[in-house]
Amino acid sequence: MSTTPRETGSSQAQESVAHAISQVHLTGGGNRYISFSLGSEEYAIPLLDVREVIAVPETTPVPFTPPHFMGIMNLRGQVISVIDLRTKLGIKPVAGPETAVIICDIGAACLGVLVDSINSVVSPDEGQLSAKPEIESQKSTDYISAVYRKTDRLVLIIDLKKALNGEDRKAISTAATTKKAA
Amino acid sequence: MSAEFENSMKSAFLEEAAQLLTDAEQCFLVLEKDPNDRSNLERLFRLAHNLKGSSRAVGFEILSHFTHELENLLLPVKKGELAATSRLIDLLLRCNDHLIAYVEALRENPDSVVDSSELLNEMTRFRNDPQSDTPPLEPQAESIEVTPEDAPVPVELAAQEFETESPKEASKPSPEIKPENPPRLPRPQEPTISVKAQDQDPLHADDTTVVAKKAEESIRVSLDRVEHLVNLVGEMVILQSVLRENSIQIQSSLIRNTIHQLGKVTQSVQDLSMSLRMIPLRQSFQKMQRIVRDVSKQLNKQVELSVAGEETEVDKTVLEFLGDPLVHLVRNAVDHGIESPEQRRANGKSEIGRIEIKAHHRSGNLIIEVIDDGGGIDADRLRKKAVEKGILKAGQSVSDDEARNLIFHPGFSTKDQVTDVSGRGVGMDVVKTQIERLQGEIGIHTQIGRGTRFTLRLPLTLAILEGMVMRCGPERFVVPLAHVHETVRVNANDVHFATGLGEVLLIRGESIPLYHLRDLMKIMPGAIPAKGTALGAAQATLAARSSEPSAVIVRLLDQPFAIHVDEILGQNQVVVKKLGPELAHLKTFSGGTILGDGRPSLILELIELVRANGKATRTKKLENSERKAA
Repeated sequence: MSTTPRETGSSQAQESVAHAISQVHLTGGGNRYISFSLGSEEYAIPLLDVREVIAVPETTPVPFTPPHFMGIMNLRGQVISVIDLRTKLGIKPVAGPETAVIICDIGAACLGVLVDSINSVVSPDEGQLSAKPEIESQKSTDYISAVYRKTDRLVLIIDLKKALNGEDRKAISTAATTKKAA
Repeated sequence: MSAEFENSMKSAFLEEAAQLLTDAEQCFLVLEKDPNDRSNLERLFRLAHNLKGSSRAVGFEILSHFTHELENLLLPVKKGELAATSRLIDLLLRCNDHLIAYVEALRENPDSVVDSSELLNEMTRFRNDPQSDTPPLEPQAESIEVTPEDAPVPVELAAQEFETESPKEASKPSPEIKPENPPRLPRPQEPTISVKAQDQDPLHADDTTVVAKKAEESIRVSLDRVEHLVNLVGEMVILQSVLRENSIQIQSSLIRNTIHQLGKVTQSVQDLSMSLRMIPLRQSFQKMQRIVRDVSKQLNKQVELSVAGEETEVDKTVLEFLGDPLVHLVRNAVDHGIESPEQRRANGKSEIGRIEIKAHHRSGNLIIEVIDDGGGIDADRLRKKAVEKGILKAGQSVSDDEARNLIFHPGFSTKDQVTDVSGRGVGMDVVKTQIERLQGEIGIHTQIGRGTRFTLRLPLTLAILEGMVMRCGPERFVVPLAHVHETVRVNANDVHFATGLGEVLLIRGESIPLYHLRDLMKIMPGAIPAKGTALGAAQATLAARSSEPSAVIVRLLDQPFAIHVDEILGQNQVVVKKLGPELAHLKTFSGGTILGDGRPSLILELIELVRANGKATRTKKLENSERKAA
């Protein structure tokens, strides 16, 4: 399974984001976030965790992995895993021309995260951030670290480490063992 | 002093200290062999003094105090007032071990404190009264051959050593007070330390070349930087191959030539960058001296160890993994290989057993041999033992070679008594797995009554792998060439199916279970993978290719097996890339790599794959044969 590198239309949003990324590592991140769309919802992750944003690369699938694991890619000679954040969070994807992969540093590892589109770099004031609402939910919402009220809409600030880490690794290893049992 | 500066000072010191202590261990062993070697004693003092001074300078007071006490213990020896008895050497070596452990603890946590009181008390007791303590029961005669110290010994000095050593000198002068320049008292009743004349010793020749090598200037570079460089070079090699593959389209012969030239330079840069990770086996081999000394003493055996090829270089990672198997083989050789002195005498052999460790490069591989002149491995005894342990059925016939390989069977030990040294039934199987994990091999040659030789073959580096690229459906996979015994074109007539057995491949009269990579990996023929997007152009062409089914035969386990693949695309050197932690759980993939066209691919561990999924696919064989019939 793979996609040929698509022209992402290299939207203005992406270019300004690329500029912001190159700056952030020089000046320190502060409270800047990169916001992106998953389906019709808007999410954001800290800009400091972001290494770069690239067009959707060709990926090689890896057997025995959960459905959101897209495969491995070649990032300038390094082999890096790519995951589909939409599938992971259970969001219906919208097929669009702006699909992109955000290369993030998660702990010591490097990971590609597929999103529907890159929107902008946001720097919310303290007052605009609030804790996530306590909602009884079947799914764990631990990965949502804060909520940003952006004029007319909500942006969920997420902690990728929490969204992917323990649970995900478990999922991968159990996927392998269930295959074994099958 | 800022905290950061202090920390970097401390870590630099600890690194240095570890080296100093390794050197000191060698010195203690030399001291045991030749207590009168002045230059060795002086060197020992320099080392101790150096350690004491710098540990105090960076604030490790306890370490400094301990070293000071150790120095006090050594002082009378230097002055010739105290003889270097075996008991003293034991104490010194234990102190050295303690220091090594201490330094190791400090490396992990600079604030750690290790209790040294016991050894300190013992040192004080020893100093106050070196004679009173009833000497521990010592082996009747112990002998350890020690290689000349590894440090840059000027050649003249080495010659002096030779002079002092050549009269077979008593090794264990009784704990008497000796005058300043002790006269050499030959003690014929005492066991002699076997000392080889140095000019006949091949080791000595090695050492002189090492001295010359060490004269080269060198700098210390952090491993991180070397690794970063190796990664970047790997990237460059891939880009270069993309460039080369596309150079046909270029009109200009100048550019084409330049690409060709660039390719050559890239190759040299790659070779060079790989060589930066290569380190000599010396340190690992030095450890063996100590192990042979301790183990043979414990078992009351006399063993002489000689080492050759210690300057042979190997990748740092390989060396790290190699350490334990090597220690185990050498311990085993002393324990199981070499017979007791009485038995050796009875068999008309010299009482002193010989163990040799040799290393050299052969066609891109590292070869290490561990040779003993002991009793050899008795195939009949192994068979009997295997039947007792239920590994073999009574009456099951196995060839001598097969029987010898039983020692690699988990839970197998021929030693009747479980000793402290080996014979716990864990070990040889671990050695074998460890070596195979390194993509290497282990072989045994043995002759009853004459001895045993273990031969290890290992790749020089783990960063590059000689791999076989194979296709299965739209995907390509890499399998380490070392795992592949042979490949055969699959002819439908050679594949037989039986409901109970599953599919079996007939090859030269042998029937081998046949697995399909497609089933093992759950790749459906030509199907668009479940995970969304359509196939890329490159893959579509791959999947559409007419398959030339081949089977890869793996004979690493007792039971060989064959894996059916759609096509074998060729053999390539690939640069091994670690997969991220999110994939670390998948044992079936030992890593990733990037193929010549820039696409990533997985490196397969076929044994793991069959172990994990093989059974499940066997039961589904009917489906397969139906598919074939269709």
